[in-house]
Amino acid sequence: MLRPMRPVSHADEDDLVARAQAGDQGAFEELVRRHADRLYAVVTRFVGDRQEAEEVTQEAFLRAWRGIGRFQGNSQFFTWLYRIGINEAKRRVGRRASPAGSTSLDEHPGLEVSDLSQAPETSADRRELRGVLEGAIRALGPDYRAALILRDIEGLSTSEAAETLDLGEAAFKSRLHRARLSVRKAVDDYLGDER
Amino acid sequence: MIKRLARHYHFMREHLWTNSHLSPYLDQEVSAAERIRVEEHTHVCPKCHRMLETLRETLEGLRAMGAEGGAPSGLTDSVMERVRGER
Repeated sequence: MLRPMRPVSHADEDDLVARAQAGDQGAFEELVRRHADRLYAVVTRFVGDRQEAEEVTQEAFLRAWRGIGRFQGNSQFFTWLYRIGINEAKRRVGRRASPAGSTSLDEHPGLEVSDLSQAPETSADRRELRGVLEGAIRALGPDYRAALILRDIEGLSTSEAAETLDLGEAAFKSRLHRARLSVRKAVDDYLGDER
Repeated sequence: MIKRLARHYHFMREHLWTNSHLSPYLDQEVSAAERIRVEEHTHVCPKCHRMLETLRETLEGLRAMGAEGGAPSGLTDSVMERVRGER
């Protein structure tokens, strides 16, 4: 069961952050406990491998501990933390060879769509659709993947997700829309093959 | 002839505009006027109507992927061990 993404109390969280900034490891441990599940989920979606995700999540928390003195409270703590996690995940992914089949979004996905009467209904179809979605997410470039994971899977608001990625809202929305169209195209191809 | 061209121009303008506003529409991040504009076009344009519905299906699938599992049980301990090892 996942812990809630957001802290129960902002004041409580602010206090924990302030104590951690003063060197209180116990306060930092509580922050880790609160955010570990969600950060791990984001990173796992991003890197696509649980073992690697665990390493990245640990590294992200360590970087957060080292840098917590620089957190000024201008953003929410979890968006600051997610940014560290995503940047670390991007570094890991960047070290690998360019993923085969990575999708360029330079070309706008077409408008051709399938017959919606073929939308998956059974649980087997749903599992298959899920596999299609996972493949489509993995095929996205890192910047597009991050936008989609934060907004559509993790459920951050547009402003929170934009803040995490250090983007203005307009730029974030544009990136998200293109990512969604690319994934939708994969779904559409899947539905088309089912006909 | 001119009327037909004008209708076609209007349709294509609405087609392109609608296509770029489907995401914010589904996120309920459009104004009331923009919402009506999307709905009017998707009502008369089969391609945009289907595009909207497959995009909606995609977002539902993505959202269903959230809230799964949790971090490995020892992750917090491992992090804190490394934190305590820091000078």
